[in-house]
Amino acid sequence: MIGRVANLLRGDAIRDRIMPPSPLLGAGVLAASIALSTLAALAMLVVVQVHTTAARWTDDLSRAVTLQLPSGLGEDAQTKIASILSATPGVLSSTELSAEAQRALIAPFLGRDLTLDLASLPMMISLDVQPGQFDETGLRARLAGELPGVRVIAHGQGRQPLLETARSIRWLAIAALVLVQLGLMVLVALAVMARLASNRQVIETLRLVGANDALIERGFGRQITMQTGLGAVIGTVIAGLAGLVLPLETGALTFMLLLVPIAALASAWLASRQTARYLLRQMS
Amino acid sequence: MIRFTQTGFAYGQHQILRDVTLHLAPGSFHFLTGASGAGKSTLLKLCYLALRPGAGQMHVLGEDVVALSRDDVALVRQRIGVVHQDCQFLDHLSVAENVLLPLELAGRMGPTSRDNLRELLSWVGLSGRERAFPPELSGGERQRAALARALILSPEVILADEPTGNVDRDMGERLLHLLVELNRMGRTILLATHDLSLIRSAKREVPARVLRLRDGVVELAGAEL
Ligand SMILES: Nc1ncnc2c1ncn2[C@@H]1O[C@H](COP(=O)(O)OP(=O)(O)OP(=O)(O)O)[C@@H](O)[C@H]1O
Ligand SMILES: [Mg+2]
Repeated sequence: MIGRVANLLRGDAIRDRIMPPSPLLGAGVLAASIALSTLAALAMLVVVQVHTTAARWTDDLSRAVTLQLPSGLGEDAQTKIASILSATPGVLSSTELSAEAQRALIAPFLGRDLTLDLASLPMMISLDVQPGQFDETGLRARLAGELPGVRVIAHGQGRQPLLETARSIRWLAIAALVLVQLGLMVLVALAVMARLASNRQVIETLRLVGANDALIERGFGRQITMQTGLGAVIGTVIAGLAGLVLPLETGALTFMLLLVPIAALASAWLASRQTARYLLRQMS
Repeated sequence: MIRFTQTGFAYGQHQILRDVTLHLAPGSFHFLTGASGAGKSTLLKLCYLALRPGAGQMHVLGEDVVALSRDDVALVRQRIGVVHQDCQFLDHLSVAENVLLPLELAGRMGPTSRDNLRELLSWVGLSGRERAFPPELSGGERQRAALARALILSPEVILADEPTGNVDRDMGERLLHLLVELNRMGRTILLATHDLSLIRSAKREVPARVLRLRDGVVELAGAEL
């Protein structure tokens, strides 16, 4: 088994060497495959990076909800809020923000040195909620009914446009990946066409000695698939190195880069087989 | 082995075979003669399924060629040894690899294949040329390498198109002798040539029949040969 795989890679069997070598075309396929695969791997890095970042934003922000109370609410109002919160599904905990914490929150906007009349600050209650279970509309409705003036600020909402941007970037990168893959398939198809066209005599000879189409397809597709695959590996390594240099936070998802050479091999194999099959039918 | 029944063939408007009825019995030896352009190579191509008949019927090794699929054609070819008029090789493979190619493609390489190869090459007089590449061979060596390649699968039928076309008298006789020996071992042989002296010397060794292709029809040549 291992011997057979090694043979396939090295192309030791005569049937794997039925195609005359063509160094120039081989170098061209290799170079184009490196270029396209580097692009594909970079697009993959973008997908992964955007996905990771967006997921963290969504996670962090959708967990945080703040209640803003008008200043000067009485004790009973606070008890009422507490009971409403405990009846709302998805609320994990609630903390009244201290004056210090509030100051820290607004410092980026107003500056730390600002002297504030703390008494006039609205009171804030920070909620830690379970995304998905938290019943935001229910909470809003009840508060509006019983304690008008209390505002519910869900921070996830402010970031919605950002998340949408992230999503479109991700789709663009995926579209780029698909297009690069298509480009690779066209490249392979053209290379197979060139090889078949310049080797009609070889094909005739092969048929004469009993080769069926599948064998010829395999012989002609194999080299080009290997060259494309090698180019894809090199391209992925180049993009991976670029990923190390750039300040990316792709983390564990970096293994997704492996998909690039795998997809390249698969599409090269498919494209070479299909093209060869089609052309051999025409050539009989 | 091979049976033509009112078979016709044309390249476009150019009618080559009109009404050929012919049976090559197992173990028989036939010569095919005719003027240049009469259609000898065409008839041989029909026999090894490189062309399909345009009219009539044709059976090769019991198979109705009109009904054969592309893959079945490849399988039938593995049972026919062909020596081409302009014997073509894969120039990037050595002589040994070229001769072994049919065996490889048929998936029939075995532990004794290399020994068989050596024996076959020495039988056709090509010992020591295994590692040469086809462009390095002389015309006669090419013909013999082509014969070795045609024989590696132990085919039931051997079709040879002017196998002595590019070689001198002696080499022609030697090649013919190899074919006669194969016929004695039971192989069916069809040999296209316009070399009448070759036919005469063969008829001294085997009961060969001589077919003449003229005006798209095959006739049995008389005893003048
Ligand atoms: N592929 C082709 N397309 C069109 N015409 C062809 C083709 N091959 C052969 N012919 C024509 O068919 C006729 C018969 O050719 P063929 O090669 O069978 O003759 P032949 O008897 O073998 O001749 P020779 O003794 O010179 O080898 C010739 O007139 C040739 O020009
Ligand atoms: Mg001819």
